[in-house]
Amino acid sequence: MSIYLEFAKQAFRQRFIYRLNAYMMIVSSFLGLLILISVWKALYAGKTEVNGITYENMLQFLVLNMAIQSLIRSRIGQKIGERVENGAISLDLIRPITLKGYFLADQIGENVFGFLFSTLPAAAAAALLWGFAVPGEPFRFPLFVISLLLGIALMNQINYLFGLLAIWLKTAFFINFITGAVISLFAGSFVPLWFYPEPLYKISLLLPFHLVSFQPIAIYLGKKTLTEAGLIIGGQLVWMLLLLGLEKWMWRRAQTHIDVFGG
Amino acid sequence: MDYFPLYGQFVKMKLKGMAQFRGPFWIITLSKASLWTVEVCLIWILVDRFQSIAGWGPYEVLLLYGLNLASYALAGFFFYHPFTYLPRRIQTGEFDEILTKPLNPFLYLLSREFSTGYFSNLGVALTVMMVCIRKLELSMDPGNLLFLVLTLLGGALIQASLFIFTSVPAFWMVQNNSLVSLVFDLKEFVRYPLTAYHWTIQILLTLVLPFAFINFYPAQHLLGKAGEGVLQPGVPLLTPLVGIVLFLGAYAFWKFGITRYRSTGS
Repeated sequence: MSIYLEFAKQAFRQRFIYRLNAYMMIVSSFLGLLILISVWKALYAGKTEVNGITYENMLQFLVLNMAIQSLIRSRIGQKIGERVENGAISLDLIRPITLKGYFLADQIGENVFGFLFSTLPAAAAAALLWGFAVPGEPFRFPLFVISLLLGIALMNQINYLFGLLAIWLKTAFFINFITGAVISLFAGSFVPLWFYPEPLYKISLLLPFHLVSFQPIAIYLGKKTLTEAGLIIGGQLVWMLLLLGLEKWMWRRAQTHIDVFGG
Repeated sequence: MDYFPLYGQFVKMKLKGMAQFRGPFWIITLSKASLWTVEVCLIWILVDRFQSIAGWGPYEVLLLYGLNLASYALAGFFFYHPFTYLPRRIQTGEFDEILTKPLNPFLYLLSREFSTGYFSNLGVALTVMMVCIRKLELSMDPGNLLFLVLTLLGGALIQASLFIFTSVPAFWMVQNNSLVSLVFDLKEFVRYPLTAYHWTIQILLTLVLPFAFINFYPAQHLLGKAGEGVLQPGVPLLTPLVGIVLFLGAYAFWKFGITRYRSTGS
């Protein structure tokens, strides 16, 4: 009898830890949001708007941004970099496309899980607490969704290209740091681009990173007209094509580069 | 305690090993440093655009950042590897092997797993602090300098205690990563002045999880802002004491964890 009790205890414990982990993830997401909201509230103290952005706009931005960040997370660069480091890449050189597709599918599955069970509940709680507005114009929301999907594709592509750098740098450890640095600086997800000093703002617009999550959110919040939203989506498509071309070129260079080392 | 020279040897070995791989070490150090530098720039941009947060200007907020990052780096050298990888060591049975050695497992792990990855954090943090001290025209007389050093050591002990406290539950449950991330998420609060938050959070970060001692209270003292905030006895000078008390508590918790530990049998 006691052995069955032990089984039951084990089963309960596993369930419990798993559940606890899931709840903790939601709490973590919510905490992160609470910190940001407190900070922005303190920043806006005694101000109605800064650069045309009100505190209410910023609240919406933070909640949306948190939910979206979990969807655009990408570790593809890290994965491909590790394969370069341990030499598995030489096998992949024959079929680069399938490997990328596999990583992409894996990443999307992971992100959707994180979104549904961690950031979405936290965002819903925040929306209940602080209120949340849905775009009024009927076309705005579909445009936002299209630009968000393209943003996810862009992010993974960018990440992948950073991962390929491991072929030349001989290590994969740098990837997350470099990608993180470049994206935080130019993507406008930690400090929205509205608040950037002019020179940095101009540079950011010339690079693809602002199209990943900042511009889709700007479309949602009505900070862009529908025409501008169309232009953003066009820009995302152009960048996507450019980066796919860059990937092809890098692979070609990589092949000769790896040949030099005798495979 | 006669083992101390031996522990020193372990650390030396690590440093020598690092010198061997010069190429990647520099790439890694620079890429990490670039990430912290970007963070610093963004905090500056944000606070500068809004002029201040809770009455703290951009360089004052960056002083908080520097104190936090520097003490984290000091703790990270010795405590990151031994304690963040503890669950994995327990799972693989490597920890059992450590227990059979005739050395104190705590000190042994500390010295064998010395991490060389924190020079970039420390470099950026000290640079940021120096720039802030210059810009804010803080006088660095011997008294203030001693205060700063003691604060960093105390802060490092607080950060080290965090690594230990969050890892010990691995002796009982296999997965503790959510607990670790939760505690470290809470630490994100101290990037900005404590007075920016609701009073309940101020109390939480002073009395329950004393993260505010890492940077906020010492910075208050240095900037002559003492007296703001909910909890204001003469706390700025308590950082080293809080660090020591917390660290002793963490070590006792670790000891307790080991006595209750039964191998996974792998």
